[in-house]
Amino acid sequence: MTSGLVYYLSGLAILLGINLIAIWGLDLQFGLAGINNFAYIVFQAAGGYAAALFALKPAKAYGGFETYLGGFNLPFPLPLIGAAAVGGLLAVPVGLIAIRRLRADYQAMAMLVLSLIATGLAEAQTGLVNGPTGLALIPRPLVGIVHVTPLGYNWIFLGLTAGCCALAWWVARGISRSPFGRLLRAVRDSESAVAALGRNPDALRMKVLIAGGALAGLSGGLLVEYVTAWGPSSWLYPETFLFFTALIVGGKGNLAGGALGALLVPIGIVEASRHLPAFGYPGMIDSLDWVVIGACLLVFLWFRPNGLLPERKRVFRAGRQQAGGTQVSGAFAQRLTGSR
Amino acid sequence: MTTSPGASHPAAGETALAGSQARPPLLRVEGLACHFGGVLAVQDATFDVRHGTITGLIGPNGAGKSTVINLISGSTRPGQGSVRFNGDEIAGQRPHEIAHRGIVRTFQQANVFGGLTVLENLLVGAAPWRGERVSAALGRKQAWSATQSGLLDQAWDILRRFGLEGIANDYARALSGGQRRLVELMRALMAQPALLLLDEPMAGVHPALAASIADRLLEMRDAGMTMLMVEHELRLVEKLCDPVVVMARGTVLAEGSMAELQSNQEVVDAYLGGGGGG
Ligand SMILES: Nc1ncnc2c1ncn2[C@@H]1O[C@H](COP(=O)(O)OP(=O)(O)OP(=O)(O)O)[C@@H](O)[C@H]1O
Ligand SMILES: [Mg+2]
Repeated sequence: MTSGLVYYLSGLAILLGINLIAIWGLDLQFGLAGINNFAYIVFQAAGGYAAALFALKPAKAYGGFETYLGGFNLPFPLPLIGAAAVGGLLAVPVGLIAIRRLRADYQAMAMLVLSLIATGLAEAQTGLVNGPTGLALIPRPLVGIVHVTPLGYNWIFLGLTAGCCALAWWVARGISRSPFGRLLRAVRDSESAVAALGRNPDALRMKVLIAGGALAGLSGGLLVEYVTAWGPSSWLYPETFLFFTALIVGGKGNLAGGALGALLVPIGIVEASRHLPAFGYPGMIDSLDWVVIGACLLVFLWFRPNGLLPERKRVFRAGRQQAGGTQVSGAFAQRLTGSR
Repeated sequence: MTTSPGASHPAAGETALAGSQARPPLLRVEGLACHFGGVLAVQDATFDVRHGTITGLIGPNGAGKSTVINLISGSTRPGQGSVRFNGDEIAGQRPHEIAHRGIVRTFQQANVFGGLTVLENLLVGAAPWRGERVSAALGRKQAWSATQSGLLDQAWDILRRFGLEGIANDYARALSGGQRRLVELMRALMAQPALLLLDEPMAGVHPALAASIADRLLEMRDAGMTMLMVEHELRLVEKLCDPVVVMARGTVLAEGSMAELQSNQEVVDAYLGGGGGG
């Protein structure tokens, strides 16, 4: 392989990892808990901008050619931790606005509208993140500390991304196999029954919104630090549907399904189209991307709504796994169940 | 949402003390009212549910029975009136708060978690426990798996009692309507509620199975569980419920044993004789 190809592939692997973290975060919210978070891209964007603002020096240091909030010049890995924290914190107001009081279909609408408002605000308020132009010159992690070739740096960043993927996997797997995850799947099916059994569905949804938001934020932070520049027009609402498509194609409620979706949709379709020979007017291939992605989404919704790797059934085998597992069943339960 | 199973519902372990006249009723509903737009669904409903009884709630279609269940369980907020449970005012509290006190309900339209298996449905029924916290999800599996297998044993026991071990690992969405009702009932039993609110639990269930469910309910009553049950099938009401509360047009018409009610002309006219509701 030529070194150019290796460089390209290592970059692709980094993008795959970044998408994977975001898709697993969305899987927690949408796949597990059934929240139609059509504002998901805003969480990734918030994490990205947070990482940028935490990593950048104050605007004056660059001769004031950009304007933005803060510029804290924090060392690695603080910008990434900050990105995850901001993504998680953003879930609180979003949850309060969109989750409580609203029916599921209206939640989706509210989320979509929030996404549009966020883009509008970022572009209109130049002082926030430099308006529509976005931010540039974002320092990469460890630059100035490690001295390597661009390819060498890609390997380092790939290692960092892989570490973050491992963290995301640990969070997503922990939640999806736990009793908490079971409650989330219960909320997905019937909020009223969950409440009737003594759990607060709003609180459950809020928690998973925070967990997924933190993963989205982390993924956005990684993306911005890798690309070093980013503007509001890169975080538009259609990007949310890219993630939804990946989940629906790969299989929601299944971590391997999310990984497959990440490989097929954002990397597969979007990257493959870059290598098509140019045809039509400039920008035509980009538009066709969305046609293909949209068509993919519709085909799967029609014919295979559970995706290529559907959610797996949790099967429990019969029998008293533990003799006298009555530590939890009080005297009442014994009377209830013990008189066979 | 922090208590361990079996400990959260204080009254669950108490038996109905025979002849405890001095004891206040487990549930006291007073002057309850609720309207939807211009329709008065319930007006001035007053009745008690005493410890250790299966109290029946009957009345024609549209009489307001389900609304009363919704008002007690918090699914609908009452416009007026009071609901006292163990002496505490609970009217206006949110459904999960009321459930957490030990009042668990089933729904007239079977309300199961379709994407969960029957066993998982039952596990969600168990009273809230520590293993359900986020911290447990992110911690070691060993921290919650022992408690969970205890709950699983309990769930298998209930399944066996209803003769439904065969569907334990089926998705609830794949079940028939009658089976869903049973799953909902078993799930409610997992919670070991102090008061179980049943909205037509036998509707759509085969008569033979309904009879066997009736026996289960009687056993549970004898074990100390209190129930408020809406039911249209009067033979079942007669077998299970004492006392019986009769509702018509949103109000409580009468209260007493089935025998007493059958000799009450007003009740016979309004309901037993087949009169319509409002
Ligand atoms: N959500 C609602 N919105 C508007 N009206 C309602 C609502 N729920 C109930 N009602 C009205 O309240 C009245 C009582 O209804 P409810 O469901 O309590 O009757 P019910 O006694 O349970 O009848 P059934 O035996 O048919 O189940 C009816 O007139 C009904 O139309
Ligand atoms: Mg009803």
